[in-house]
Amino acid sequence: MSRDPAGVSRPPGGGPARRRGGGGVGGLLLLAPSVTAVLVCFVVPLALMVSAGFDRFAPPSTVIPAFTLDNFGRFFGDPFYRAIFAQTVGMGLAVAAICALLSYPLAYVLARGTARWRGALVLVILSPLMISVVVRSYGWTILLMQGGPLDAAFTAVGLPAPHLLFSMTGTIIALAEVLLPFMIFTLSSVLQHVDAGLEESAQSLGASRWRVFRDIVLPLSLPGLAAGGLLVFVLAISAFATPVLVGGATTQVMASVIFGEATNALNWPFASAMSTFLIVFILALVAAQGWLMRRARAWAPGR
Amino acid sequence: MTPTGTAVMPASGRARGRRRVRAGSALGTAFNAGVIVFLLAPIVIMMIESFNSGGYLLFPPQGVSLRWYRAFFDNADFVESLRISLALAFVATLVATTIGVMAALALAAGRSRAAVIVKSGLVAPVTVPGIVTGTGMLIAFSRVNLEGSFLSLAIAHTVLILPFVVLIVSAGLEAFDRSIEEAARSLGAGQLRAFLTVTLPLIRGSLVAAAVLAFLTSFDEVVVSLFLAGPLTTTLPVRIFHYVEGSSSPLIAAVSTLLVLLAGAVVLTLDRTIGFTRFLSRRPQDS
Repeated sequence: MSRDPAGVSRPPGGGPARRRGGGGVGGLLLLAPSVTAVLVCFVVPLALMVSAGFDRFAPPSTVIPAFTLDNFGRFFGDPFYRAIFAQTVGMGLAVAAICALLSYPLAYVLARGTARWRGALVLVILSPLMISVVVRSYGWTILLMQGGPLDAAFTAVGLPAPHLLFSMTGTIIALAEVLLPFMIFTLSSVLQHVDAGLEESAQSLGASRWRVFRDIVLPLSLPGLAAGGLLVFVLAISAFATPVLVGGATTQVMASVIFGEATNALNWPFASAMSTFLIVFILALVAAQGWLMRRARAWAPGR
Repeated sequence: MTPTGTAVMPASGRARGRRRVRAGSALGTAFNAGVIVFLLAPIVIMMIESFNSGGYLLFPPQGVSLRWYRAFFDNADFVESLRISLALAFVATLVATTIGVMAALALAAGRSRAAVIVKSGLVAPVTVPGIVTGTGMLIAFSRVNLEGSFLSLAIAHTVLILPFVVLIVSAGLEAFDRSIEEAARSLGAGQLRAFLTVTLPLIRGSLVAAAVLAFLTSFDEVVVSLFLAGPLTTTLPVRIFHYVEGSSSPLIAAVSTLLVLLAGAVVLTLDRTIGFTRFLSRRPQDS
């Protein structure tokens, strides 16, 4: 804590005994390449993007440096883009809700199960994350295609085939699968910290399993649900590959509209304005949740 | 699940409670099995379809053949994209691992506020959505006339995978006793020698894990690459993406299955060598 981060002043009794890294000029040299890389190749592009959002666009592909709010005005003013945003948020909420429901029991088992089981389970849940999202979305196009396995299963039990490929419903199902591991791991890491002794004492006092869940496990795991839900929501509303491949041209979301404007319409100012809005929206959500969690924590001990 | 819980119940209540618990966990197990089927379904169906002998995707698949695997290796575009993706992942991993390990070493020494800020800055690229990063990089690289070049992709991938290296190697450095290295230094070993003979062997596990995850992340990256890739620098995920957008040939199922097998081999090797899943699944009360 007392170490001088900039390493300008030498610690008392410094010299040869001083540890390498962190403090000294050596530490700065070690940091220089990666800090430079992130600044030049990540921060600068994002700054250029934010500033491009205020430029003026002249079709077919001219960008005129300016300071105009027209791009943002177009996004908020045009009912088409407002509808796209509403549809994207609705999709994110649906995906987060499905993920929460599906992952809760599995996260619980992961948090409470025996070590041997847990290793295998983690491997199974983790492996999809090692596979490209394009590949997994392609798998969904097969599952949902006309006459595919899902349609076949529905007709086999006498129901009409749902034909979910190139639909919002299909996109939501596929995205929920793609993002499920994030929810499971977030939730189980919080459930691990819920004292199993609490559940046992409640049960030994005669509480039903449902009551133990409702009054003990669920309230104590709310931070996990909130964190996992926000993570999945944010990843869903900024998802690109799955909505395009599974949703098709008729299912437009924020990311697909941004990509179309940036690469097909070549309207970089408008694409930049939408990207800027998306990242500001996400940052605002994260900040709001952080604030709420701090409030909740400050309130909890006095209960 | 909780044998102590039912012990104090009266006899009849205990039996009822047990039965209910058993029925409840059977239901829970069935539910969880369903979720795991849901999680693996797209990958499994794709692997099945890759052996389809028909000319297009059909369910159930017609016959069994390897024709689509042959079709992949006969397709010059796909083989070229595989080559580009491998080269890209190799270059990006090499650079990101080198500079990421350097940064992790510097950050491990100081626990100051500045170190925390620098670390979260280096991790930032993984927290920004690809669609946003892609827009920014497209604009930035076209300013310097690099869009569509291998160099732009290599730079983008390096920055995108750097967070994994910094995070994993930092965690590895925290886990071992740094006084061993200090002992080596006090016994007269030079800075470089202490690093090569003491620190490096101790963090080898996290170094390998970081490099492998970085490689896979670069190899699989699609969104930012879609913004930057040109006709001569179409990476494999980008080619698959465009192909799936346009058609539903079983060829993609074959390519995808090869990618899944690659990822599976990597995960299993990591698990065997450094206890990858054990590291990720440990919980506080185990120790």
